[in-house]
Amino acid sequence: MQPFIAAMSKVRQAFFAAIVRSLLRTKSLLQAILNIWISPSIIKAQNVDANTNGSTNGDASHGSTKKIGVNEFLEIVERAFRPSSSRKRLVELSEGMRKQFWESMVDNPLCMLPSCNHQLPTGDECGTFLALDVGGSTFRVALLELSGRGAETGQEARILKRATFKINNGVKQLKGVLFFDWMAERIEETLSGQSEGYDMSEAPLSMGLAWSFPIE
Amino acid sequence: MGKGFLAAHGLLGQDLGDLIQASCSRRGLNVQLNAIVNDSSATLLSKAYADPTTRFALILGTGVNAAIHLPVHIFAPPKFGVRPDEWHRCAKHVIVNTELSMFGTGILPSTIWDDALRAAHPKPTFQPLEHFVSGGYLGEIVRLILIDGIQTAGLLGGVIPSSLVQPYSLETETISFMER
Repeated sequence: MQPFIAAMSKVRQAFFAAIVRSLLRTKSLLQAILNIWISPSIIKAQNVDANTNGSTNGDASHGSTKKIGVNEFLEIVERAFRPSSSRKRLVELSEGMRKQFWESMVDNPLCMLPSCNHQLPTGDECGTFLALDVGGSTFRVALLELSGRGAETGQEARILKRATFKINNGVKQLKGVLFFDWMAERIEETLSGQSEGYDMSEAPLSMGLAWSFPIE
Repeated sequence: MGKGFLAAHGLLGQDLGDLIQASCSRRGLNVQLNAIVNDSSATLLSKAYADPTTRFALILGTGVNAAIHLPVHIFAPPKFGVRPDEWHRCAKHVIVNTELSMFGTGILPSTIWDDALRAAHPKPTFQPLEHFVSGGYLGEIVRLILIDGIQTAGLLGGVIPSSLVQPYSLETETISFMER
C-alpha cells in the first residue's frame, strides 16, 4: 500500500501542477487573442485613458457607461485566476479532492466505479485485432497487430489500417439498429481491400470496443 | 443515451455487444466482438500493454475522466454489487472508472465567468470539474471573458462580433490553435 500511496501522491502533484499551468495560461491566452484582434484605435483610446488618469470615456455611442482600460481589464482577469493557483489554495484543493475520492469509495453510486476487469495486460497478448472507438463526434476503426511487450519499443502495437468517421447529426439521428448497421458499414469500408490481417477463411477477427458514454 | 444519440431508441434491455455483432454478421463481416470498455479504461489498458508500470489514465477531450488500477481492499464491499465468489477470489486489484468529472463540489475555485457559465447550464452541479478543465467548456469560458472585456473595456472596438454572440460559439479547438 505504501508504494501505491507514494505513486498516487506523485500523480496528484502532477495533476495539480497541470491545473496551475492551465490557470496561469488563461491570462497569456487572452493577451494572445488581444494581440490578434485588438484594433489600433483601441490602443489609442487606451493611451488617452491612461493620459487622463482613466477618466470616463466620452464615447457617445456608449452613453454614460463608465469604462475601464484594457490593461486594467487584464489585471482583473489575472486577479480572478491567480489566487486560486497559490500553493496554499492548491494544497487545500488537493486535500479536498482526496477527501471526496475516499468518500466515493465507500458509497457513491456514480463515481469510483470498480469494473469487472481486474487484470492489466500481461504484455504477452499477440495477434491481429480490430479496435473500435465510439466517441461523441467520431467513430474510429483500427486494425492492429500486437507483437508483445518484448518487441522493440514503439513496435509493441502496429497499426495495419485505420480510419476515422465523423458522427454527424444525421448519424446521431439514426434510430436503434440503424446506428449499429452504420457502424458495421464503416467497419466493412475500413477492411475492404485489406489482405494483411483480415481473411474471410480464417477464424473471426477479434474486436474490442471503447464506448465513451453511459448506455442503459 | 448521452451526447444527442438516438441509437438507444426502441432497444432498451438489449445487449450492446449483441446488437453490434448482429449488425456485423448481417453484412457478412468475419468479426467477433469480445470486449466493451469505457474510453478511460481502454486508455489505461493500451498503455499498460506497452508499459507494465502504468496505473493511471487520464482523458482530456470534450470531457474529462480517469481510470485507475486500484487495490480491491480500499473499497467498501457494497461498491462491488453482486459478483461471483470466483471474481472476489481472483481480484486483488480492479480497474476503476473514477468519473473524475463529477468531483469538486464545494471546493473548486470559481470566477464570475465560471458562475455565468453554470447559471446558463442545464445541469450546473452535475460535473463540477468538467466545467474547469474540459474541451467542452474552455472555449465558452474564454468567450464569456471576452464578452465582458468588450463590454467593460471596449475590446474589439466595444462591439461583440456576430461570431461570438451565440453561447458556445468559440470552440476550444480555436483557442488551442491561437495559443500555439
